Amino acid sequence: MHNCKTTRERLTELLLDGSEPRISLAAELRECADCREEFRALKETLGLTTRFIETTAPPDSYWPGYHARLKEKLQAAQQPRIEPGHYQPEVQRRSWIKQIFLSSIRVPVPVGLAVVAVFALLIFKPSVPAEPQIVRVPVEVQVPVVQVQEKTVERIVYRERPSRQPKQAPVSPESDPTLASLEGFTPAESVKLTVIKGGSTNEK
Amino acid sequence: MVPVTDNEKELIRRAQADDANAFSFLAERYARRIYLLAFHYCRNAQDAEDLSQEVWLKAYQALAGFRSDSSFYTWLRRITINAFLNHQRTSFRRPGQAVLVELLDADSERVFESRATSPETIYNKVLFESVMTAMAELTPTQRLMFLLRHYEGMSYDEIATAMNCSAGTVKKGVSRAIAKLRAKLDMDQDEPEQLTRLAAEC
Repeated sequence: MHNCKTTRERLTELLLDGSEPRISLAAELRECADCREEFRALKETLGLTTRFIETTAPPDSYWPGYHARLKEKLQAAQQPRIEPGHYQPEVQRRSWIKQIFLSSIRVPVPVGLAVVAVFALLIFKPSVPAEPQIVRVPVEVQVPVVQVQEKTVERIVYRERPSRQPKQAPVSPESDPTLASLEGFTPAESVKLTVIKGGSTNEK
Repeated sequence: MVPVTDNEKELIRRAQADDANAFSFLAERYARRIYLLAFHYCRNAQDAEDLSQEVWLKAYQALAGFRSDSSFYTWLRRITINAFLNHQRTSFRRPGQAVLVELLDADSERVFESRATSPETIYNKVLFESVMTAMAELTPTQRLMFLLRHYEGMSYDEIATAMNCSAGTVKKGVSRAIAKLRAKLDMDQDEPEQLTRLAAEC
């Protein structure tokens, strides 16, 4: 059964290989107009491309210059090669300096690893964020000063003070009848009285 | 596969012994083919010269490692593909359109400069420009796969090995390249006659 997609894929391969369609494929092309058209277009496209590629080749006059330039490049590439035994001080000095930088040194593996680890620590050491430095810059700032007018307030303060009782006038026997009746009394014997105040024995 | 002739074997042997002249003879034998590949790959005459000469320099440096288990050209083509892929990584980052314009102005003039302004020349120039434009539509990888399959006649497996990808990827790449070219160059059967007539009127 004819399948356009499969036929076209086979046609492309045939054209890329540069061969002609086989009998079975040719029969399919006769049957399907679309595939026939596809074959024609593909053949033309590929033929055109091949012609184009061939056409773009530079003219014969181009090649002597091309090969001369290539020869120069080849000679330049050959120059670093030193003939054995041929003394070239400049080259030897360069190679001696080169040796210093490029020569390998035998180092025991643990030592090498330790050196690498130390370098790695130094390089990848977590950096402590530096404290921000306070830079003191003198800046002139004008601050408004509120001027307050001094004010003296006088107040009269009244304080309560305990009232003083007026001094009593000395009692005279004339004014007091009790004292008048005792006038001229002489006690028969003197009695010494001790008055005890409160309950304390120390109090006299 | 290009067979290694006795003469070629001798040239290779001498070139391996640091005979630059012998190597130059080898270069002369294949330079045109390598140059054309380079030209259609990078679409610029100056780049094509630089790239193809880079291939020869690399070949010269690696020649000591060449063993005759494959043909010299197969070995050389491998170096060419590697050089192209390296070039692709470094140089195809510039805008393609600018390169194309520069190319159409300079290279089509170079190709057709010797053939005056005959109708055939004009017709060829028109064709040249349309194929060049169509080729520019392809990605560098598609272009390389197409050139290797169509122009170099390499098999899908050979291309896959050289380009370090699967044969399926190569087949898809070639198929897409042809589809793009076909779409761009899709011409009716009578169009070439139209172009010829147009050219004759100029």
